[in-house]
Parts: sequence; structure tokens; C-alpha cells
Amino acid sequence: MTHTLHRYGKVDTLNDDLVFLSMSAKGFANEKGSGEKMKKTLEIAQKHNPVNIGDMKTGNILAITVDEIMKKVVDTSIVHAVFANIEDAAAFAKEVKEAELGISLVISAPFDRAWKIADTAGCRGHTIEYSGGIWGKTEKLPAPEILEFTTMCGHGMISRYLVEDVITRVKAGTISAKGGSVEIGKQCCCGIYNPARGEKLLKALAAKK
Amino acid sequence: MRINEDACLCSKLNGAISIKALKRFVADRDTGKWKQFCKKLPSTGKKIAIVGSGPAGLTAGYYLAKLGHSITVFEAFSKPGGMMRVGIPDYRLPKDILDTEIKEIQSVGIDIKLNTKIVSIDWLFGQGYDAAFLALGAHRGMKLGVEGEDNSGVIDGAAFLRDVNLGVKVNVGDRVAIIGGGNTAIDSAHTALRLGAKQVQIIYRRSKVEMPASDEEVEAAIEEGIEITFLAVPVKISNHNDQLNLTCNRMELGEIDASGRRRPVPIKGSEFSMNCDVIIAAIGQTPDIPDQFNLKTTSNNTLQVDYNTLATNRQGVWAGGDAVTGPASVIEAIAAGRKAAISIDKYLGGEGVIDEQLTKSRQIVAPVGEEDFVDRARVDMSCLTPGQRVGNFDEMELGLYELSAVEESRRCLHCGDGITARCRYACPAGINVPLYIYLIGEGRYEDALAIIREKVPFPKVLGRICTSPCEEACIGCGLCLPYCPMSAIGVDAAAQVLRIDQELCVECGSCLRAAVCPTDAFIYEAQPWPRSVREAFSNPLAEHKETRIPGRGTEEMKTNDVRGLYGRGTIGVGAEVGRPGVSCNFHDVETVTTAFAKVGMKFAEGNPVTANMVDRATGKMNPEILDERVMSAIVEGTIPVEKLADVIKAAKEAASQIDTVFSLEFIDRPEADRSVPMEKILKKQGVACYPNGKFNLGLGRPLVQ
Repeated sequence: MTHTLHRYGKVDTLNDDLVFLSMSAKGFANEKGSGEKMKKTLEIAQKHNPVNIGDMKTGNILAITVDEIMKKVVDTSIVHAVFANIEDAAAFAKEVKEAELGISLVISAPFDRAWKIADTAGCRGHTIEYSGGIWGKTEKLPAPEILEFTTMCGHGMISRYLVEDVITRVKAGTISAKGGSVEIGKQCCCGIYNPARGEKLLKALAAKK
Repeated sequence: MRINEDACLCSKLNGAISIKALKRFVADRDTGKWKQFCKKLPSTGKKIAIVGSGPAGLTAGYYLAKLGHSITVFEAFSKPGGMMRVGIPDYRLPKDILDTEIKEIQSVGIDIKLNTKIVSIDWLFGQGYDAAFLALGAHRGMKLGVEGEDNSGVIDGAAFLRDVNLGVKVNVGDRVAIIGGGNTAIDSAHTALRLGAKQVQIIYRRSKVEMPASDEEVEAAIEEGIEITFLAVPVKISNHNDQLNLTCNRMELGEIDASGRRRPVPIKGSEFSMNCDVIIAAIGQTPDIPDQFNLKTTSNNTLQVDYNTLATNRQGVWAGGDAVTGPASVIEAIAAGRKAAISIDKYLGGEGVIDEQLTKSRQIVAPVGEEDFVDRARVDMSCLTPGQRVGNFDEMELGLYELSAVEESRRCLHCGDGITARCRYACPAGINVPLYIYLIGEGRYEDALAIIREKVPFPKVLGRICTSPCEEACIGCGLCLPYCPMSAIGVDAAAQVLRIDQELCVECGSCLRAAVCPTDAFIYEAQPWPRSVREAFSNPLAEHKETRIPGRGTEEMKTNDVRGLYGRGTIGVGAEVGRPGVSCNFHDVETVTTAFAKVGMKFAEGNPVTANMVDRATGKMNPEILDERVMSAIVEGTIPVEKLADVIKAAKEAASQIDTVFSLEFIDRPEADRSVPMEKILKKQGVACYPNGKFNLGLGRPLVQ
């Protein structure tokens, strides 16, 4: 139920973490032929400086080429695009709305930003999902700064141990913050990881003693 | 190329070392010197029943007998050996070779009762046995599932090979079609040709690349004139005047599935047919487990065991070999027999130590052989020509001459004095491959055989049919360690390799996709039920069969603009148990589902957790999956807005009882003034929602009103 929900972090880093997903409703009228429409969505995304693009069925642009992703989009795909500023995100949403593709488009973002994007795109906004946080044995969780990375992959494919390893390597200077963020992001198959946010977080952590 | 040999670094240089041939070379020169260090402990007074005299059963029996236990092996067939006897034709494994090794195993004190099928474990315990090991094999052929397969003349590959190997006369006619692409299919084809068939055709649904049989077996089949039709699948069999007609559909390869292989998809209007006298279905085999055993089985009808000990759900009963894994290699069955012997001995009060040193030669002292080793080509065993093979069952491979064996062994790099040699860790039974190869190069054949004998009681058999699955070509570099979200990969200091803790592993596929292993040691294996739920709930690329949704949940609010499930008084509620990154078992999931059920949650249709409930009214999960660990499981459903407070209270109660975490979520529709009706209730109940979340822009069409 969650996927791009539950991205953990402070509002200032979440403000530049704007994730879109698009899919058709299985068994409903907009399913048939939706693969082509989702390809169109990804084509539009490419015009607006996305920091990541992916399809749950094939992978993301940090690991494979966008052409490979585009080629394999089918009716059952769930495609994603991630933007690192509200202007690009809003321009993308607006163009998708104007293309009248008829496929659901969902954004994960701070709600004030989501409404701004909806307003720019001329959308009313249909449904909202809140994260009620993490319950239970929270002592089993990694440190908050690690959670900011791991929760950028809704499927839990980003290992806390990899994040710790990359932080150590960035601090030691054996990998750049950008390279480290990409290495982390490759593990998130469907492409909802935000490498730009990851890079910023890594730089901040590396600067800490 | 054998997979075991694929682990050899020489494969990237001048051809992998002929490991199997060298094993056979020393095994065929057995002088029995290794027996001087071989010990048999005094009687423990414990009696163990072993069901099945295949490689797993006899291996377990051999080691347990040496530890002083009294062993009785029950064999349903008229001769011992299991699949080595009834599944492998003479031209690959002559029966006198097998007889010699079984006789050697029996010499430590094993009683084999032939023609004795065991159908009740209670009966065994009633006979005074203290423990039982079930090594039944997988002898029942799988059905094709097509119209007309019950026609006479359609037989299953396992039964066909069994009859031929046990001396039953089988008439195959002139034209034989074989369905399948594994070893049984290839062996059936060779056997049919040797029985006099004039035209033998194999039909396989994928391409040559995906064929489970090894390249050299496929090439040998083609050499003998066996035709192989790739990308075809049978759809119908009919019988006209004792003439079978097989109709097939052409296939093409579609998308990559969770196994990493491209899925065969039928091509419309591509049907073709052929006439044949006999059709052999060789698409797989399953164990034939008597109902009276009353043991837990998987959806593949294999016995369910603890992976670490091979214990079944019944105390005092272990199981291993093909009956647990489905059809696998002889070396894997031997490895299972060793593991079972260790577990059973510990159960009976022993220390579970089955290894002994049969030679004092332990060290490689000259790491690399001759200077020109890089220029030397691989030496293979010579074989009978295709013409010499047809019409008889003479052994195909002829072994190595001494000079060739020594030359071949001296090509070995003995990587890191054998310590870092990949082949050393490729053998499931743990044979120290680089050491015995080194000893051959030194001319110390008896010591070389002793090294092999330390781990397996079937060196002659393995010298002919060893196909290791190479679970590990791991060199212990540790590059993969941080990529596992569950930290399930650990260091086995004794073996100097890494191991995956099967309990912690949730089958998410991260290790494979990370693609950091320099030796490609990770191998995907589809898991049997109930372990199969691990992948379905953990690997985002695995598609749930019921919902066609890749991932773990339903479409929920992602398509609510089209579906209209939530809002206007109906709140969507979800708890992703195990998230973020902690994982959970289904006991934890059931704690949450039962708590939600009590307050009247209507569980979501098409949701994988809902699909695995046995009672939606109570939220009870299928008990078969309760112990399975998954990355996360999403409990989702709907509740009237007036019951939202009750759900939150139920969530609080469940949170205090689970041994993991869950992430909680709520779905509603905003009003025209952008207020969200559920927000007041959430605040009142003390739920601190994140400032960010998901927002459906409402672009799906037709838009629900």
C-alpha cells in the first residue's frame, strides 16, 4: 500500500524530493494500451530534468539506460520519475495533464508542495495518503540519518549496511558523495530513489566529525 | 562445461581443469590404501532406519555406521542405488562400477533390504528404530497437462529409464518424441536411440541457452543424430490406428521473469504436428511420498525440512536428497547425506563428527606446475565415436591415460596454494579439489583418492557423473556483504567462504542484482512452498500470481481516481509489517491482522496478505507460512470513518505485541476546501503524521465520481 510513502527526513531535505508514479487500473478501461501512455509519461519526464526514472519491472536509470526502460514498458508497468525541485516537478505534471493520457498520476511530496504542483498543473487533487509513522519495536531501526536513505526505497532494497559502508567510504575519500549516492540508488529497482537528495545527505554526513 | 569446473580460474585462461576426469582417474586406480586410516567406532546400540538406497541414503548410512550405529536401508526396487541405478543409463555409469562402490559402503556394516517399500514411519519406530532418514528420491514423472497424454505410447521419462535400467524390455518403435530439456530428456533420447529408434526428436519450450542439460550433453545428443526442436511446447496428443500424433505450438521468449530467464510465450497460429510411435514426457519428477508418513510437504510435493539440519516436522525423522530438493545432482544428494548423518548422530548423543583424515598429505607445496602451463590445452577424456555408441550401452567416456592425467593436473594454478581456489568451495560435499589435483601431479594417486574419499563414499560414480550445482564459487572477498538488507550473508571462517543464513534470507534478490560478486557466485533458485512466499513478499520484481501486481500490495490509492475505493466516509488503512527494512515473519503479521479484524476492518481484495488468510473474519493467516520471514507484508483494508479511532487503538495494541515494526498509513479524499476529514481523528488519537505523503492528482480516466 505504501511504495513511495513513508520517506523519512527533515522537511528541508524532503522539499526537494518529489516523486511521481503512474499506472493504469488493472481490469479497468484504462488498462489496455496503457503501456504506450506510460511511455509518453516518461518521455515528458525526460524533458524536465528528472534525477531518476524507472519502471518497477525493469530497473532505473542509475543501473540501466533510459532506452532499455522505455522499450520494456507494458500495460502492467508502474513507471516513476523523480525531480529535485518544484519547478521541474510542476512543469512535468502540467504537461502530463495537458497530454490527457487518462492514466493515474501520483506524487509523493510534502503536502504543501503537492498542492502547489496540483495548482500549477490545473489538477483538483483526488486522494491523499498519510504516513502515520513507524510503530512497534523501533529500537530495531537504524539511526535516523540512515533511515533517510533507506526509506527512499519503498521495497527496502537499500541496505542500511550499504549506506553505512558508503558513508565510511565518502568520509575516507575513496568515493565521491555523488558516486556513493548512485551506488546506493542502483539497489532501488523501480527508480524512486532521489540521488540528488542522497548526495546532499552524504555531503552533510561526511562533513560531520 | 561442468558448473564445478566453471569455478576454475583456468576456464578464463586455457580451459578449466578436467576435474571430473581426474577424479575418475584416481578412483579407477583404487588400491584401498585409504582404508588404513579408516575407523569404525564401537556399537552405540542405536538403530537407524534409512528409506532409500540412493546417494543420500547410502552416504548417510555409511557415515552413521562408521560412528557405531546399526543401519538398515529399505529399498523399494529390486536393486540398490536409487537414481544412480534406475535413472542413469549404463553408457554414463556402468552398473558394475556402481555395484563396487555400494559393496564398499555395505562393508562398514549396512543391511540393505531390497523390494521393501516403507509406507509408515510409525511402523519403523514400532520396529525399535531410534531415528529415520528419508531419502526416497524423486521417481514420479510429472504430467504434461495436455489432452491425450493418457494414450498408450505416452510414457514418462523416469519410468522409461527405470524400466530399461532394471532390465525390462521396452519397445520404442521407430519414431520417438521426447518432451523436456533436462538430463532425463537427454538420457531418454540417447537410450531410445540405443534401443533401436530410427528418429529421435527432443522438443523443448525455451531456447538452447536456457536448456538445463549441459552443453556437452546437448552436443553429444546432436552428434548421435538426435534432433532438438527449441521453442516449442506440446498442446495435444491424439491416437489414430496406433499412430500417435503430437501437436505443438511454437514459442517466443518474452519478458524476463523473477528467475532472470525470459518467459516462453506461445506464438498464435504456429501449431505444427508430427507422427510418432512413442512420446516420452521428461519435464520433471517429484517424490512419491506415502500419505501415511503424515509429514509436512511443500507445494512441489517435496518433504519440508529445516535447511540447516534436514529435520522434518516429526521428531527423530530427517529427510534429504531429491525427496527434499526435487531432482538434483548426485553430489548434492551426497552432501545431504553427510548433513543428515551429522544431525542424526548429534540427536543420538554423538558429536556429529563424520570427517576423518585418510592421508597425511595435506599441503600444496608447489603452487604452479610447469612454466608453460598457460600454453597447454585442456585434456578431456576420449570417447567412443557416435557410430560406436549406437545400438549398445557401452560406457561412452574412456577415462584418462596416466600421462594425460599428470599433464592435466599440472595445468592447475592451485590458486593461493589451494586456499583461495574457487573449485575448493564449489563442491557441495566439500572435497578439497586443488589438493587432490596437486597430488595427482605429484604422482601420489592413492593420497589423491584419500582426499576425495574423506568427503564422499562414491568417488568412482562421481568420476563419471559429477555435476555440481556450484552453490559457491565464492572466494570470500566480502564485496557483497553490505548489499544484503537483512545482513544474512556471513563469513564461514572454517571454509573461508561466505554463507547465506537461510533463516534470515528473505529471497529479495538484492545480492544477485547488486552484481558485485567477481565470480558470479549467487544463483537464483525458485523456492518451494511455503518458502516461496519469501520471494513474493520481498523481491519487488516478483509478481504476485493473484494480483498481477509487481511488489507487495495492491494499487490502493494509486488508482483510486479510477477505482473509487476510498474516501467519502470510507478510510483506507494499511500497516506494512516489517517496514522499514526490519523484516517480519507471519506470526507478526497475524498479530496485526487479528487486531484489525476485531475492530471490523474489511481486508483488501487482491492483497497478498488477504490472499494468505484462512479466515478473513478473524484475520488468521495460513499456518503453513507463519514461520516464513519476509521483507515486509502489507496489511490493508477499509474501515468506516467512525471506526477509525478503534483501528488506531488496535494498531497500538498490536505494536506492543510484535517483534518487529510496522509503518502505518491512512487514505481519504480531500474536501473542496482541501480539508481532510480523517485528520481530526488522527490528531485526537495522537497519531503524528509525516508532513509528506502521497497525493493522487486525479488524472486517471474514466474518473470515478
